[in-house]
Amino acid sequence: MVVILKWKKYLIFLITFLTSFLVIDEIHAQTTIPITTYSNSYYYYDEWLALRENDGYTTYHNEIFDYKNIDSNTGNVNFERLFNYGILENDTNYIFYKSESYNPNASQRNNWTGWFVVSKNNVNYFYMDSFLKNSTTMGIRVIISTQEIIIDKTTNLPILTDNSTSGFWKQQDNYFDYYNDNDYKNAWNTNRIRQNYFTNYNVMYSDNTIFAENNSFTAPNISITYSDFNFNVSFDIIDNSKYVYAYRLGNNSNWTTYTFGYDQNSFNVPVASNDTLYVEVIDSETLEVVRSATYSLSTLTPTITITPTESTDNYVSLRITFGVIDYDSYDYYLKSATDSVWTYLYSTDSSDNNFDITFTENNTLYVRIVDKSDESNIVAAATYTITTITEESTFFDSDETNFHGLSSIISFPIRFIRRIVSSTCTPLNLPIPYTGETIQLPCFYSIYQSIGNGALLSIYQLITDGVISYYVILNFLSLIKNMRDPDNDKIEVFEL
Amino acid sequence: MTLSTIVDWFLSFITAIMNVILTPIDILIGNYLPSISQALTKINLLFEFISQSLSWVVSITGLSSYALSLIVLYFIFKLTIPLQVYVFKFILKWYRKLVP
Repeated sequence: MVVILKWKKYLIFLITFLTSFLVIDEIHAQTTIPITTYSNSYYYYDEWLALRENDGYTTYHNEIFDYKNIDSNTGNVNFERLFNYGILENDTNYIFYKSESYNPNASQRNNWTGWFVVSKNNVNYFYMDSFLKNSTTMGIRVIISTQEIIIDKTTNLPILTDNSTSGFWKQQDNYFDYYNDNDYKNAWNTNRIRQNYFTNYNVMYSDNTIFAENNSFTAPNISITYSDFNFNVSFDIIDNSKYVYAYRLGNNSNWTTYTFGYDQNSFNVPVASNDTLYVEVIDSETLEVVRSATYSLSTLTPTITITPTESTDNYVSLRITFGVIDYDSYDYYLKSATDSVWTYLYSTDSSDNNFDITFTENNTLYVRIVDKSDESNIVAAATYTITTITEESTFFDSDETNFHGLSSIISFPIRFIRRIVSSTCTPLNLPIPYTGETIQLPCFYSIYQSIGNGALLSIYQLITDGVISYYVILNFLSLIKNMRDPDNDKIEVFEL
Repeated sequence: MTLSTIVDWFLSFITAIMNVILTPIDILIGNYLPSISQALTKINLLFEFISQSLSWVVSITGLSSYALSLIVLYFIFKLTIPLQVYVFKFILKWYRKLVP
């Protein structure tokens, strides 16, 4: 028996904690961005490479790298796919580039010119491989969209990184910033290497005006839309190093800056009142506001929507959504059919118009919005009746109604135990002396339920259920064992 | 059938039996000793307040209804075992006497 008890002990603990970890793991599950790598094991002779622009940066390494391969020996022209990504498509912006011969053998890798240009959001990005050709006579022909550019490399370029690392260069002002691929994917501005080609090295290109044109000043345009209690703010140019993107709501005097992450060009600002959103784009060097926009919301009205978010046999969670949150103009109240007083609703976050409440017994919820200046003026009201919670036995309910007399006092312990088991918690109403007012203490279940959408409560209950089950089973088995022990006179022994 | 339903039914059964036995005494006290009846009612109101507060206090623990029912059921079982054994033996004894 002792062995069985110990075995059960470990099994129950094992199941409890493994289940807890599974729940925690599910909560913290994150989406990972797949990173595609490519191989350098190709021979290039005389080739034109075509680079397709994709819509977003999430697959920025997945562009089509088709190229025309001209065999130097036979003169045959072959179109081969360098990185096995798709085919050329119509109505797509391609950037072609030409590179010289490349041999992946280490001794000849200096002949490799692995760089090409792609234009995104009016900014040129220079993708480079590890090595650049030492030759001073190589010419590279680049076509960006419809504009043909002849670029003559007049001097040696530095070896950028080691052989295995690839990255790209981004032109910013008079600088070229080198981004490692992984750094770029993880964060826009981290671990970058900034090099000034124009001061530390000879001029890279003979025709610098090309870059001057492409790099002409174009401030990001701001677009603001509203949908479902959120302002959506988007920009057509994202450059965290050059611009500061800031916003504030009219009821908040502090500006909030937003740093865009990978593959982002917009963000949401939650709003629950008829507020005005101010957005500014500031030049990070001159601190000049280069763009600004506002959006004044006036369509929100005091309405009440009650929707069930979770429904089980034991409890029902409801979400109350107010059409507008304006604590200066309105007061928000709720009460259940079993409550004697109204509960005032308030949230420190004025952009949050949702309130969650959980009922553990069938009840009716009343919600209303009243005019702050005239409390008798009910602006909006809503009711929700819960009938889906499994009814408890009603066959013997007389103890609840008959609470007077001797029988009630004698049966109080029974009622006391029933209260524990029933788990129907009602808010505690306590009268405040000398004021005639009543203070209402809400049930802790509803408070716990509001933390992390009830995840914390679920985990806590999972663990406590396991531990309590363990001890109850342990004591139960111990009880059975004692019953079978004739020497133990604690309880009467079966002698059938 | 959940654990709480079993416990609840059992407790309701006990309560109902107690009410049947004690209600005539309640009526007698209410009719012939009104002052005592009022005093008993006051005591009951206090108990009722404690009883109502209990569910709120229990909610602080955050325990599930399953865990609470299990605890109560266990103690009911443990504390009523002598009674159960006695009843079982009594029935068995009765049965043996009836059987020829």
